[in-house]
Amino acid sequence: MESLVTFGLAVLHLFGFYALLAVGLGLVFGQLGVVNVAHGEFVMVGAYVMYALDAVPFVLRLALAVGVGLVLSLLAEWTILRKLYSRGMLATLLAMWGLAIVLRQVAEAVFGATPRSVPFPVQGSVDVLGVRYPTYRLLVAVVSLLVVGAVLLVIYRTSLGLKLRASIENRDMAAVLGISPRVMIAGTFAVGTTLAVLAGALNSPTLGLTPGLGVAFLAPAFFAVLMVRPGSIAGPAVGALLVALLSSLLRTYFTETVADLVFFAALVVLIAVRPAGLSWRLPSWLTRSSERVA
Amino acid sequence: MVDQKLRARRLTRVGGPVAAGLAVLLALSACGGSIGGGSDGGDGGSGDPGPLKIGMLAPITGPAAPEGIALQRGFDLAIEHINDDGGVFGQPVEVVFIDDQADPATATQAAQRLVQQEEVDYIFGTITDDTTIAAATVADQAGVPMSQAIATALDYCSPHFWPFGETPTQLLTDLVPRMVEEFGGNVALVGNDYVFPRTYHEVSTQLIEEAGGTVVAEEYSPLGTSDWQPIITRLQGAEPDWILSAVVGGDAVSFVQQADQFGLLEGRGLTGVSVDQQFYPALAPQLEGRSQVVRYTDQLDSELNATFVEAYREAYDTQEPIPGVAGNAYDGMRFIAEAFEQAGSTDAEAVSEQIAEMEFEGLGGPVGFDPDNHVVQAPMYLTSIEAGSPYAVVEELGVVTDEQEKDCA
Repeated sequence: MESLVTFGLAVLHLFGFYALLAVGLGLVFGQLGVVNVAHGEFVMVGAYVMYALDAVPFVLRLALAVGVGLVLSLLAEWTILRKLYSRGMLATLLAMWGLAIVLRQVAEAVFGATPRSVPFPVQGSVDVLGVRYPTYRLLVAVVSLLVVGAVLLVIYRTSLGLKLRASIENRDMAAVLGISPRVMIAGTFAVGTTLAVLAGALNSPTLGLTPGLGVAFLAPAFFAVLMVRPGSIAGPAVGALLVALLSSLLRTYFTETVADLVFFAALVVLIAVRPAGLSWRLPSWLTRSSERVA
Repeated sequence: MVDQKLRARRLTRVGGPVAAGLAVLLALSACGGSIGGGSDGGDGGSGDPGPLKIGMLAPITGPAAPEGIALQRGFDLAIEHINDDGGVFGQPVEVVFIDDQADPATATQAAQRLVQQEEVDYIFGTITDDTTIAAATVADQAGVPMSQAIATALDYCSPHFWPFGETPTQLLTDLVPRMVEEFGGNVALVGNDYVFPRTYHEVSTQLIEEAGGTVVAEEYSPLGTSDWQPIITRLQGAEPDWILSAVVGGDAVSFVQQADQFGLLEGRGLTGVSVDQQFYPALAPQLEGRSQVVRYTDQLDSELNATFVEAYREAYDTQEPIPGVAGNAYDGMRFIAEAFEQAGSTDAEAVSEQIAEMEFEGLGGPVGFDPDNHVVQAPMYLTSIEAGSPYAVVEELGVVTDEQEKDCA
């Protein structure tokens, strides 16, 4: 029982983190057709904002990190991506790859290469069904999932969300109906990448901060997006849960290196067998029901 | 005595702005450069030696950047001080620096450039053992002597390869029995999954058993691991008295922070590579009160060290503990310059002959080499990580022998 609870908590923590990343990555891919390979670097930006502003109270720092994320992503979309959409996916992918390198170099120039840390804002542990678990870790998982839930709620239950989904389905038709493509594109990119910044900020007290810290988060987030129907908005959250489950399961029964190997091999096989992603009942049901409501 | 077995698509056209931007970004990321180079180099012979030309390799970008930058800093200060004192052969020492990005392929190309185009007399670097072996192989084929300066488990031997890094035996021989005595015999081993941590733990396992202890858990995780919960859970289940960690880089900070949060460190000892100086700024609360064996600490009580510490702090504007690799690099480069001076030539044979025989006053005492297995001989120190004076010397341990059975000569 204890090991089951420990396993569940490990999955919950990873699910929260990966869901924030995957939903953001999925939104950007769905709306812009951009493979944001700099997503991990936005996680790094969030973590370093939390480190740099250590004199500011933690919750205010989180808000500032979100602000930095919005400004940085709007700037990146305006100065880099806007000129490249017409050149296709390869051009935007290369540009984001370049942006990732620049962000890492800037972090190294400003903060140096020595690993840094962010103190935990909440100390101590709580008892979860007989298992002692760090309070902050639990809090982060719950907050992450609430944010993902709120984002999906906005997308599926508000007129703004309807406009966004219309723009993703058929941008030209949406534009004829008065939905500005430019606003939708910039806004989606800002929200998607800011979710990554928020993920980095929330998890910063559990991470060793180095300029390269974001690299490790890109692969699981990508797999979470690739596992589901392309363009699906809620799908990546389900993908994140599957990735978290698979990763935790493997790491429970195998050594870390073997678990990593099997994890990536399983995902490559899955994508090779089902390149259009798995067909999930839940996301398609959500889409249909929301369309009826709208 | 420890019996060591060291092993060791169609592409759519990319528009001009993208290509140009990419070129700039690539140039930015490469960060390679040349400092003070451009001379004709040494003559490679024993006649009238030209200016001494050193090829310097360090990963100042990439996963080993913290250690790479520290290595470069110690090395640069040594060059500055050597040149302030008149240089070598009466001329300033020249340096060609290349960032190997902790990548063996990059290191191989960099070493080839150093020996073929730059015609350097000596190569200094680098950090990870695989990149060091890659560069050393090129240097060996070209007959150019080489040294590295960070703790190492290298299974590499060559007549002209002189590693200044501490071996696992030197780091652990005094540390392990003391930890067993202070905390108990049940030990958990943890590390990143590559050659150095595994060799480090092979040595530690033997020492733990010799001290009457038992390894109750042994866990390895790939470099770049950010979530340590499964490992921490398994370590907790093994109920160790203390933890010996060879987790490095940003992972060390993640591991120790998370271990602390999960209560793994409560009442338990912690030492190993993860408590080294470069992690102190991020982990001060978790590291204070713990012990570590080092060759270099900025707390060494010598005039030479006081001068080095002052110069380091001023040059790099830092009050943080100076990493051991910086001290090793400073000693190593000065040692090499002295060997060239004494050899009176840039000939590899003559220089290696001097290195094998020389005894040189380093920051923490005399530094020399075992002429057969090329293991560096220098005093080690037991230190205590205390607030205000982290890594203060508690006891001088003297030279720790490491009788590796290899004949490099």
